[in-house]
Amino acid sequence: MNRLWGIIVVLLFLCSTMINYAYAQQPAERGYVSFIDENGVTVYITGWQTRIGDQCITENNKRFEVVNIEGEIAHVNFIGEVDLTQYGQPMNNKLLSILSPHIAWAQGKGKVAIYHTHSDESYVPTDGKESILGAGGIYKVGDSFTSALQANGMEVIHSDAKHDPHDNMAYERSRRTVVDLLKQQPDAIFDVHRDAVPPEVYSTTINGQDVSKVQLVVGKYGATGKQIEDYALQIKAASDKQHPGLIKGIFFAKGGDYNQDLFPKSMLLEVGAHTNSRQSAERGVALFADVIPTILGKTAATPENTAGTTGFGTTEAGPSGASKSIGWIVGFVIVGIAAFLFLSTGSMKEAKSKLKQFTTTEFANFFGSVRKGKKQAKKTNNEKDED
Amino acid sequence: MNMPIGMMMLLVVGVLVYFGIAHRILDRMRLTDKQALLFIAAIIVGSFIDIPLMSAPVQLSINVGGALLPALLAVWLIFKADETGEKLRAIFATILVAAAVSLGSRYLPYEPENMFLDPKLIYGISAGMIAYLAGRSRRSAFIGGVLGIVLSDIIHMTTIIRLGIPGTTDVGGAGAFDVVIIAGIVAVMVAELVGETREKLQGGPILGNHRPEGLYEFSKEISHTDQKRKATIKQDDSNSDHNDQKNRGDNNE
Repeated sequence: MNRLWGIIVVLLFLCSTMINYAYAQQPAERGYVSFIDENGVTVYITGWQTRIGDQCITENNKRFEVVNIEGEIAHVNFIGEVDLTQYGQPMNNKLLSILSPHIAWAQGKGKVAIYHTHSDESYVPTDGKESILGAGGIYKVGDSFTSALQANGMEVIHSDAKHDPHDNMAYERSRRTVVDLLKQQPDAIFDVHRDAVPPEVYSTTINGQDVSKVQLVVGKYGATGKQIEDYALQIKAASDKQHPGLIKGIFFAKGGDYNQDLFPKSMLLEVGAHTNSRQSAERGVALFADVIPTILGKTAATPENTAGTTGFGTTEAGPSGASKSIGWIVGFVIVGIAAFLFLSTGSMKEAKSKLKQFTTTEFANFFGSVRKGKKQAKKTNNEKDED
Repeated sequence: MNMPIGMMMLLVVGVLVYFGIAHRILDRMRLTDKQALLFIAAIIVGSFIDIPLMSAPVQLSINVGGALLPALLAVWLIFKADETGEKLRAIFATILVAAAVSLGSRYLPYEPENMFLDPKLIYGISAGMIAYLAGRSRRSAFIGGVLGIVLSDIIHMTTIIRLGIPGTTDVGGAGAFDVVIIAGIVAVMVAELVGETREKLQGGPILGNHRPEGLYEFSKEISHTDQKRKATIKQDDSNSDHNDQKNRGDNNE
């Protein structure tokens, strides 16, 4: 009976949370959130509600963190200015330059994979609607990205997989597309979206053309977030050099990893908003394609980044994102094991003994002689049955 | 694919840790360590195999490593359950998880900027909690996590057919990294965490003289083995002493 009550309470809790969030996600009157800094200046605008702790890097490389939210106003604190010049330092160490994988670089011009998690996203001025299930205008933006990359001599796989409806599981469905694309061994993978803000936020003029800017979104949820952050800064550094003003900024979302955990060179792009014309988004993404060969090390414009040639970091810039991510993963494992041992055993003595038992019998099972292994397996089975 | 060593290391460490955790979880599912390792190998190989099931009105396929194998393991676990009640609780948990996933996917926030928890974890955690409450069992948590997601995929497929939305359903299509397997793993971890914490809050396992008979005690086991080993060594020593004496005696003769 108690158990039944328990289930009911949890279900009620889940339902109430879901309903709360269902209401919370409704865009309010304006439909977007403005980031206001300590001086009352709007520094960033994003389409949906944000949460405390989310961060952004603006077009002019200033980093802010959300500290308080009042409706559609997010109050942010200035964290500091990001020095992107260190992400484009020329390689000056001859020994390290020998170690870098030049042979791999020379083998091909690079392969890029493109997909769209939100297959319905469209541009109102051109497509008529902001959402067209299964055939959003976003695919045409992906086509434009594809042809611009091909013009730069790159091989492109543009997935037409559909992940509708536009819901919370869309990223889990697109995860399947990502793994499918990764089997074809791309050098980089992009999930192309569009934002939902007023047109002026994304609209700009580059080389006399009216184009939509591009926003990079980094999922800071998983341990691999640090690596993706490094990658995003590298992209912005390269883009600022080639097409200043093209990147609107970088948004660091705490709530998910958007399948960026699957591959270290994954990036979520938002090209324009639903209020911009699709053609301007197509032009914007085509300019962005010029930056890709540089990022993938196919040209010499910015051959190096803070990660150094080995990818572990440099003395000047500290450890790379990849090293930090490895550190996080190892840290999680150690803390997890310690917590499990603490919870599952009664005392330090028991914990130590359990660890000892694990390291001796479990590994003996794998690496010991066949006969011993069989004995151990039998023993372990007996223990499990007792459990 | 060209990548600096740092990124390659990140990939290697990530994959090793992931499969390491998966192995610890699978060996709690009536599998021995070796069987669990073989099962992981089968999942990896199976990740490359998609079986098409239907092409109209929507495309439906199932991935061998990402859904078929874990689902078969879950079904086998249901059949192997000792009591009918246990079987029913596992099935009940599966249905509740599928309902939670379907409702959650519809109502939880979906834009990158305002998700509050990664969907992969939300469904694993809810599966673990629901299954633990329904059956207070790690195995039913695994069954709930795996079959709940598979069932939610079927619900998704019927929804898109009903609404006429063009799309595909590739159950477990992300293979070893699919939400089917992640939900199963996370569910068992949650059940383990909730169960162990609850036991800990209740005072934990009794140690010492009043410990219930049959409750496993690692330190006792180790010290017992140590004592046994020491005893054997001692015996060996005394034997050799005896031999020495004998030899000496022989020599004396």
